[in-house]
Amino acid sequence: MKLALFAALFTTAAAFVTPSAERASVALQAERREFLSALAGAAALAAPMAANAVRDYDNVGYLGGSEIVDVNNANVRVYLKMPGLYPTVAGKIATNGPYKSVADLYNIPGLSGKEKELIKKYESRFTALEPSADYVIDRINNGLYR
Amino acid sequence: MSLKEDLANAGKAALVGALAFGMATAPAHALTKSEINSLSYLQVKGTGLANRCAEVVGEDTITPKAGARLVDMCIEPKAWAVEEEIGRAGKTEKKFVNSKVMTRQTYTLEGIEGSLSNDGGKIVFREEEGIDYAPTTVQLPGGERVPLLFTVKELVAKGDGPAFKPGFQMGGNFNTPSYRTGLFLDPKGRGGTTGYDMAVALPALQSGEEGDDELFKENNKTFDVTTGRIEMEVNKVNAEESEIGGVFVATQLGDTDMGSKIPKKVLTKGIFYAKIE
Repeated sequence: MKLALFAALFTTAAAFVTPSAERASVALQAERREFLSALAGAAALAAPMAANAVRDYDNVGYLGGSEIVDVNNANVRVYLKMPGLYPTVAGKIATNGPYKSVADLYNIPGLSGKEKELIKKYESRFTALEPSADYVIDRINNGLYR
Repeated sequence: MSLKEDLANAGKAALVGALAFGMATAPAHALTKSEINSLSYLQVKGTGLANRCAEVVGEDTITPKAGARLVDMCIEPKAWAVEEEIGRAGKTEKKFVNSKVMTRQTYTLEGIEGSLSNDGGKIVFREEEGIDYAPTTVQLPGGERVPLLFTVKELVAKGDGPAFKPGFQMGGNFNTPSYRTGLFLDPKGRGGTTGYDMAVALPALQSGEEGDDELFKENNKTFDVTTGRIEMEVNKVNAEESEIGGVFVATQLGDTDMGSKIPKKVLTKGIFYAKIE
């Protein structure tokens, strides 16, 4: 089915291929077809991680304003309030991916023993909530400089 | 699926076209990385050289060792085309229309680095960090401007062989975050993670009032992350300096204005450079 689909595409695409390119690209076409059909299953193009607008973001309280901090969404400057974390450990927390739970923090690659102790010290203040794309992108620099 | 189809159609012709394009425009000011590194800041400032990718000379083969990384990757777009519906003799068809770039000298991605791994005899490149996004605006022939965030964020490119050599191709999907981030406020003070959530300047259209629904698309800001695709082909490899260079074709969606308009598909073609370490 995939081959038929590609064949149909190639015939319609013929109108867009310039004559000189057509001659040279026959070999390229075959390689490309094989290459792309091999990857056809891999790409899930219709499943982006969008953050749909939430008029009231429920977890706004965990972005640094209160005692409990959401490590998946909070900006790195929030860790300034916890002595010892900023900038090294805070940087590692903010640059590494979404954490399924607070215990996942200890799995950050390259953490030294001392840094793990520091995270342990503040463990009770962390929580790992659902990462929201519009906050995750601003974890290092959210444009708010105080 | 549609992004890949477009890329399949445009990619074949484009890769060969871009190859010819790249060779035809081997300008006098295409320098190699070592030449660029020997220039001082004042020699580069104002010349536009920082927006160009270095060129690579040589046709060797490099097989990356375990734990190798691709560093200093530079992706320079040279041509942009926006998909438009062209009406011809009553029949509309979607076609990529060449557009002119409005952004001056800051549309190239630079300093991108990521890990290389060998997955079943094929190289896989995972982009990690660097200047991997560049807000760009292109202008359509009718005058309409299309902003897009040209990016390769979180790219996972799978190659078709275990070594970099002329003719090696790799491609994969990447994430395109929203052109505007959460803190951006529109002219009415509405924003994603900050700002109002209704048209405050129109007192009769408060939240929940009748008529507010018409403005819902503008009031409700969404941070849209979409997927794009890039296909790269290596044409030059310099084993001594451990560099590769080639051409790429990428498609991605343009700006959605935080959810209030339908994004246009943009096709980008250009050259890239990378160093293996």
